[in-house]
Amino acid sequence: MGITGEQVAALRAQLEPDADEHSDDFRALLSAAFHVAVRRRFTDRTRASDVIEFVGEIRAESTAAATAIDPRTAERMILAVAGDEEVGDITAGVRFEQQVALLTEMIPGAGELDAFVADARELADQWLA
Amino acid sequence: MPVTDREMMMLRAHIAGEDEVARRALLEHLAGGGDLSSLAVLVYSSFVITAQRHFTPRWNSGQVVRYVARLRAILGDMTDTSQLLDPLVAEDELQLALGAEPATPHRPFAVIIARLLLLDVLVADLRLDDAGLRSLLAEARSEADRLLAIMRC
Repeated sequence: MGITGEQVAALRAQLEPDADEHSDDFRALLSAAFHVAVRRRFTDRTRASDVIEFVGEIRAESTAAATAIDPRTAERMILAVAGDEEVGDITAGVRFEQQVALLTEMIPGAGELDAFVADARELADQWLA
Repeated sequence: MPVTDREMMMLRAHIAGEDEVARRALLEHLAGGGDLSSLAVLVYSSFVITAQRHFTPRWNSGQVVRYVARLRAILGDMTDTSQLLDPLVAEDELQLALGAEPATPHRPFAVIIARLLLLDVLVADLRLDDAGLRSLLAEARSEADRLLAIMRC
């Protein structure tokens, strides 16, 4: 089953408070969005120290971000996409929570949002095919 | 019991990066029947004094988060050391030293590691000369003695 327009809308809504749409397809879409966001910012040559400073910077921006984002977990999840970090020991629930928290801080501005969501949708469709 | 000269020497060696000197002194201290309680208080007082010098008069939690992240990024290539430092413990310890309300209790080992590693970088950031370092250590010893006297009561 492909990603539906409603789920893309839900991804947009997830980036706003109080959104609630947690189907498997939607989780795939959210995870794909996280991959796209990480890939836009980091490369295979990214060092752990770059990721540590990036996560520190977004956590420093607000108490809410500092509370919601667990630094070690967030760094590992980014490095799993941009490097070879293994995150099999992190539960699906924690991964989901951290992806939501990180995505809130990593999504592009309005001008790039449509392309970003389209890329996430395409990747999620590939995973689900 | 007040802080001893040997404990002062151990702390000074640690701050100066003379790890072998510090390790040998620690082993001699333990072999002589010494415990670690006074040294732990000395490290604590040094840490609080350096944290307050670095961050006051004004600070916010974002600065603390950035500082810990910077330290961890510096340690990033030294995998074993960077894994020892729990960022949430380090942030809580710094904020506590700066007067914030106590956060969730952490494992004592994680706390002492955070204080020691933060102390290293805080002292380095202060860029003290020998006289400045002697002054800092003397202030820390005086504060540690005061705290130890309170603890004995």
